[in-house]
Amino acid sequence: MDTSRFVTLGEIAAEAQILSGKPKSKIHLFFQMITNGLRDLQLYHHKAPKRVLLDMSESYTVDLPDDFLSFIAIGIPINGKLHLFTEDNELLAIATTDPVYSWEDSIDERSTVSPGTRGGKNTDYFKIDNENNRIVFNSPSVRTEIILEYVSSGIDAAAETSVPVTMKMILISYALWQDGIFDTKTPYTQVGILKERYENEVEKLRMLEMPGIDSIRDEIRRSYRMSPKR
Amino acid sequence: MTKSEIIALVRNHISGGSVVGDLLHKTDPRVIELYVSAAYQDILYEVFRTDQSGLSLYAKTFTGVAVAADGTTGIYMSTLPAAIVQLPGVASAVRSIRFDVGTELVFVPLEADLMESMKMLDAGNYTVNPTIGYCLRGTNSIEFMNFPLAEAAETLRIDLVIPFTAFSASEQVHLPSGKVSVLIEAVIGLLTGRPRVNLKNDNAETENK
Repeated sequence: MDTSRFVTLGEIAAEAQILSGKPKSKIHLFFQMITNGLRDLQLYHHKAPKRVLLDMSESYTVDLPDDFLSFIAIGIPINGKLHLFTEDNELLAIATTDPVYSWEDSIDERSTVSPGTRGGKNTDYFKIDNENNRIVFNSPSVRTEIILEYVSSGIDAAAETSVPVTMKMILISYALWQDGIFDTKTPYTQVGILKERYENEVEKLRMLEMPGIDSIRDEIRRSYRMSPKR
Repeated sequence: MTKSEIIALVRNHISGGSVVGDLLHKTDPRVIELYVSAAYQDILYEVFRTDQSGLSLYAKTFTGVAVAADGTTGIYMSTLPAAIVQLPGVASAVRSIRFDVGTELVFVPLEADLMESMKMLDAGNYTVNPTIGYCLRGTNSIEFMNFPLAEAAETLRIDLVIPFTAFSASEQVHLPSGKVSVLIEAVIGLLTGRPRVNLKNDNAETENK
């Protein structure tokens, strides 16, 4: 049997510590740098949004998850597709249990857009209330089963975190680079080399996540329209 | 060699002859053991300076060491089962810690200051990072970080570098290769002591060198 496609953060930290030549007593520092690297990777390089199913509270709010880093989209599932709500930054009032507005619960089919796009056209409006760590809604009714798509920290707070092995070398490179920055004995040129190595690893991950030729063909064919024969 | 054999060897060496004279009968037998202990400690320090991992060869394993959470702070601590040799370095004389049975969690030595700060980070949260950190507190206890609650009833297997005096007479004491004669020479050197102060020259406190 081949080795697993997952590797724990602890294993990555151990490998980084061994490669650095630093004593075992520094392994916790490397673990910390690996977690920082994972957050950085999740936010800026790795395209793996997390989806969670949430219920609106009676006061038309949803608390942001603890691991929430950045917003992607929010909506409700209809016929297996995500129908997005519309962001309205002017939304001030938080609806009460007795909604002020009595809009019809009709969903515009055109609000189905690709992941990462926000602002569908429908009857539900939302605003991210970062200060109070929640999302507030103006909806016709208290909705259940809202799907929130967001960038997660990627770090499980309840158990040891595993990540795809494809991310291993990036995280090791990140930790070695950071170790080089904070270790004053590391020559400046060496820090530059370590940074370059990290950037190379990130580039490799981007290439790995680029759409394949079949995906590109599908996208092109999807845009074809039959024109009337003359 | 056992501890008593090493002492017998040293005693035999200082019991007469043209080089050392009869040091044996001039010295209290209990003091001889202390001198051997001092020389043994010097040798261990030399090993430490050469290669720290080599120290594990001279450590003694203690099993069944209990871990207990402090009632007030909730910090997990263990009392060392024996006195240890004081060595520089993060781990000092605690060369290895493992669970007696079952769980294969990794124990890693940490600097005390670093551990305090680390507790506030992700790496110091045992649900996120199951690697257990430890540091020496005082001379006879160990404090743990990230010690899992589920393993609180388990006992530990600890390898300690202990002083020569802490071995029983029949216990094997490992000496590094080529260091037996060094040990004997060191004891003779300690027993011989410094030459007396030369009082001939007008009572001047000039030492013979």
